[in-house]
Amino acid sequence: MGIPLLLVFPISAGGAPAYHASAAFTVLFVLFGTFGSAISLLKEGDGGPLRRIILRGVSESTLVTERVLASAGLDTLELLPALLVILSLGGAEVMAWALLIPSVLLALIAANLVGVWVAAGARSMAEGALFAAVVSLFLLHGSGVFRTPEPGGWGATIEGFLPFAPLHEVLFSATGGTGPTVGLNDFLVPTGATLLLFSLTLLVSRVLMERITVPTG
Amino acid sequence: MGSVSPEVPAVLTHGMGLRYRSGRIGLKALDLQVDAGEVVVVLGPNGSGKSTLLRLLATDLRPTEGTLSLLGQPVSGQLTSIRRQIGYAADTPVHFQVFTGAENTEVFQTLAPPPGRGHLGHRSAKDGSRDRIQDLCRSFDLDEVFDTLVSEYSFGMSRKLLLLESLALAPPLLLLDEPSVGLDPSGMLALRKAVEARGRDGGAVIVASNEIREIPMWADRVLFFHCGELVEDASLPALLGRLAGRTRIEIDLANPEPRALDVNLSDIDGVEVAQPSSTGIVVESSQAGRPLPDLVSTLLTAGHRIRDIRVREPNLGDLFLELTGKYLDAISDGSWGEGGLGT
Repeated sequence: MGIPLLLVFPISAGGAPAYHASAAFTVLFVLFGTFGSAISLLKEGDGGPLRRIILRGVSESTLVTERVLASAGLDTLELLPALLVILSLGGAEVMAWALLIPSVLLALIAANLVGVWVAAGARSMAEGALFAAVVSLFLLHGSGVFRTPEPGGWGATIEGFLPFAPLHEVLFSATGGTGPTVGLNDFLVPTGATLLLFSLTLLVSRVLMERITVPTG
Repeated sequence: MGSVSPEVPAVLTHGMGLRYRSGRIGLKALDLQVDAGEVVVVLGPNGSGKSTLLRLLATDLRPTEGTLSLLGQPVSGQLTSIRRQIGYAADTPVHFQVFTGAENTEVFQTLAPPPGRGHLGHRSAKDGSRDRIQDLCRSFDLDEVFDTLVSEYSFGMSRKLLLLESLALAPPLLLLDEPSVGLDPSGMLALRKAVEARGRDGGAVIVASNEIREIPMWADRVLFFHCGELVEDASLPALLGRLAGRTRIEIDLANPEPRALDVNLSDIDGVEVAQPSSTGIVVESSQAGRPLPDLVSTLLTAGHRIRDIRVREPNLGDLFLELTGKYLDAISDGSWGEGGLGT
């Protein structure tokens, strides 16, 4: 809880422009999810208890589901004080208050799923950290965090699918930014995309978990 | 208690083999059947394929050739149902370090209860899991540290906890990889009792080890593995019968060298086999210690100086040496080097 608070408080209290503040917060929250997921999986997979749990008869899909949802929930709880600081110091409107938790939760579920794929592709924790950063920043870029895509262009289309985009929009609003009002409709497509990623992850969960937990064979 | 239906083999393999991605062969085509109530001990030196076999049977690895059925079910596709009926203690204890022994045990018990059983709380009255855990705790001398963090455990204590967790569920198929490593005498005794009880209760037990003095004595059957291949599969009485009436004479020389066998020892009455070792020579006699005076005299005449002589009954390690030309472990070979059979 302390580290996010430590990073969020100076930005919020320092009156950073909404454009910069929302970008910084979105990057922080997403990396919190992907790193937390990928690194803990790699740590527990490398000679850790993860393989033992699977060999005890817990299916890989159950393990992935429980881990992703539990991690996203815990991440959200750990970010709560930081979120309260953002809302209280940013002078956010009621809509931003209402949408912040769902947008954080959606982004963290997606980030944790990305972390599972990153862990499956990495051969060491250092590689996991690198991949988590690269993939997250790439997706954040696609989510319009670092620039505003041209309306109607392919960039905007991609942004509409990515689950980090609503978080960025809500945080922009929560930090005092003015623009089109974010509504529940903005969550529909990213939520669908996250569910699709979740389904795909569960479909290949055995392969992913074997890559994470069985280095040989 | 979990037991295997007597009609269904606990383990059935046909030509099961494993080739690693590197191309190295972990296990050569294996035909094996282990029935309910059998205690099977797998013996072999490091790298012989014992752990690979157990990892295959624990479904930790998938065979790259042949077929494998466990508890009457072919190992393919979804494995959760099979895995819940297997107790597997790998050669390295792995636990959640931030949990106590009791918490670790509860986690691994309740995560995936065997088919037909509820979670630990509901199960205790039905099958006595809690009583069994308490009994195992006492017999493994873990009762005083059971509520201590595992991060504070010694290696031996972690090993005992892993064995306790595997035994507590009374699984129909119990797989123990090098269970004696790190165990003190009381732990070995507890393990022996638990393994024998599991066999009596109808569970199939497979123990991989290179400890040759005690663990094989628990077995109904002994398998010898060498270079990923099953080289012997026989009942313990049959193997012991092959060792009966034979004596091993180990002579340490002050200047051990292959030259020791330049001396013709095979003509001595009663000498069956003589071979060099890193400390001297080893002789197998069919007439107990009777050839000893002639052996000593011949060696002294040839200019050798004798440092020590040991006369003992041969063990399974010696039998393994006969079959493969390799020493099974440091105890049986007295830390000797690899030696070919010479007479």
